[in-house]
This record gives sequence, structure tokens and C-alpha cells, in this order.
Amino acid sequence: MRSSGQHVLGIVLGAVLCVVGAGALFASDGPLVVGVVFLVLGLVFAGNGARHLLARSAFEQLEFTALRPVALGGTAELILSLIPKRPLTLTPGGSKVTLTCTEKAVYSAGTSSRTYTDVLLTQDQPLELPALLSQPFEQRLTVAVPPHLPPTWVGKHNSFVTEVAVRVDIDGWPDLVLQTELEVLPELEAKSG
Amino acid sequence: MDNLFSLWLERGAYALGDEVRGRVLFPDPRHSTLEKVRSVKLQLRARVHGSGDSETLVVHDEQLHVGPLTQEELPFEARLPERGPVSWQGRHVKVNWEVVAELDIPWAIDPKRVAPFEVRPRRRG
Repeated sequence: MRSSGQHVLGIVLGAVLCVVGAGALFASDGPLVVGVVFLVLGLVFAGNGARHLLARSAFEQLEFTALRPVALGGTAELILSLIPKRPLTLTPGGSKVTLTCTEKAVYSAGTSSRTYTDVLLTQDQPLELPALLSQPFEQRLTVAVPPHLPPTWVGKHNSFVTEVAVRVDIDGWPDLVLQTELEVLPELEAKSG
Repeated sequence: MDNLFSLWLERGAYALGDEVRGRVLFPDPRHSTLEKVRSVKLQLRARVHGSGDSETLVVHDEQLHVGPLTQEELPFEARLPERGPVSWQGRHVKVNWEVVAELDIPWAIDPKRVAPFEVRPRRRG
């Protein structure tokens, strides 16, 4: 599951970009476009990180994990466990589960590197949650894994990764997004084609 | 040296964990070059390439034969791993499985033959 530390890192990176952008804007001979681009990027990064941290701050405990690896054409089982700090009203029909499969390649030349990413699949399904979240809540989720996906494989420079994300739509509060990696085995479920 | 040797696989597609069987064929075993052969090397590997840096996963590496060749064929078998990448032709990542046979000939460019094959996920149950 993605940790709070990564969101804090996003805020720090955003703040650094904002400072660089502002510096370029206010410097007498600084290029205006570069300043604006850095400032906008910084605000996006910092805003995104702050939104996630704020969403998480409404909960005492959060957990979203896959119970076990899954075969292609099989059904993944995951556990979503939430303990709210205070009663939270959830938007009916606003929450969802998303399965994403990505291929990633990293090209390095000297000290610089470039990452190429292609999203092979994005599959949404509604997530049924209670209208009011006031007690510790735990739900077992199932997600169907299509048989045509590449199984999970992580090499030195190339990888195939499948992730599941839950988006909990909280009324009057930033949406809570939790993500976890799913290990897809190089096995085909007997029933699938 | 074009018709010196060839590589033949029993099948074109395998599942992970399967045994890959084939033969290195020498149509003319009396070819003078075959007398100079020091060894025949065989590799079973996956080449992962595309937009990023390429990487090669060698899952089987053996010396199939040592010394000058006199036979018409060298049979081989090698097992694919239970886990590993399956054949894939993506936008940025491509996985190509192949068997490579190479003749080690002193003072010559070692001739090599490549036989590609497909690797699929194995079926459960």
C-alpha cells in the first residue's frame, strides 16, 4: 500500500518546484515560461500530496492488501480495513475499485534515464460501502483479473505490474485513495479461455 | 556456412514449466568446417527489449557437444521455469523467447542459429 511518506515527498517536491518557479519569475532576467511551468507543476504536486494526506487524516487506521497472488482469469481477493477517527458520510455510489495493469521500460544513457509507461488495462467496478462510516469497517473485495494480461514480472529495466486501487468518496472531504500491488501469477485459471 | 547447421524445435509454443525439445541438425556431417568445431553451445533464453534497456534472461545454458562433429543431429531438452515472463509484444516492452545454438570454431566467427518460440502462462489444474 502507498504510504504517507510518499505523499509527504510529493509535498516537498511540489514546494521545491514552487520555490524554483517563483525564483525564475521574480528574477529580472529569468525566463517567464519556465517560472510559470515550475510553479504550476509544484502546485499540482504539493496539492495532490496534501489532498491525500488530508484524506488519510480522517482515519485512525487504513489497510488495503491483497490476500494472495491470483492467476490470470481468476478472481483476486483483497481486504479493505478502515477505522475512522470520527463518523464520516460517504457519497452513495461514489466509491469504486480500479484494476490497472501497466508495462514499464526504463532507458538509461549515462546519468540520465527515461521511463516509458503504457497502461494496458484500466477496469473500474463500483464499491458498495455503508452511507455512514462510524465504526471500524472491514470488507473483503473481489476483482476479476482478465486472462489476457501479462503476469507480474519485474526485471532490471522492464516490468509488468498490476495494481488495485480503491477510491472512497467522502462527503465534504477529499477522496481517500488506497492502492496495492497485486501479484498476477503466470498461470491461467482452468475455466478461462 | 549458411547450410552448415540448423535448429529444429518440436513445437512452436510452450507453457511455462514445459520441457522444450529439439535438435541441432547438420545436413552434411562431413563438411570440413565441422571437423574444426570445438564445442556446440545451447542457450534457452528470453530477450526483453523495447523502449527501455534490453535484458536477457538465460534459463538454460549448456555445452551440448565437445569436439569435432560427425553426427547428423544433436537432440536437446531444457525445461522452462515455472515463473518468468511470458511472450509479449507491447508498446514499450517485448518479450521474445528463443533457443540459440552456437558452434565454437577456433579462429572463425562462431556461427549461430536462433529458433524463436512462444511462451504462454501454464494452465491450472
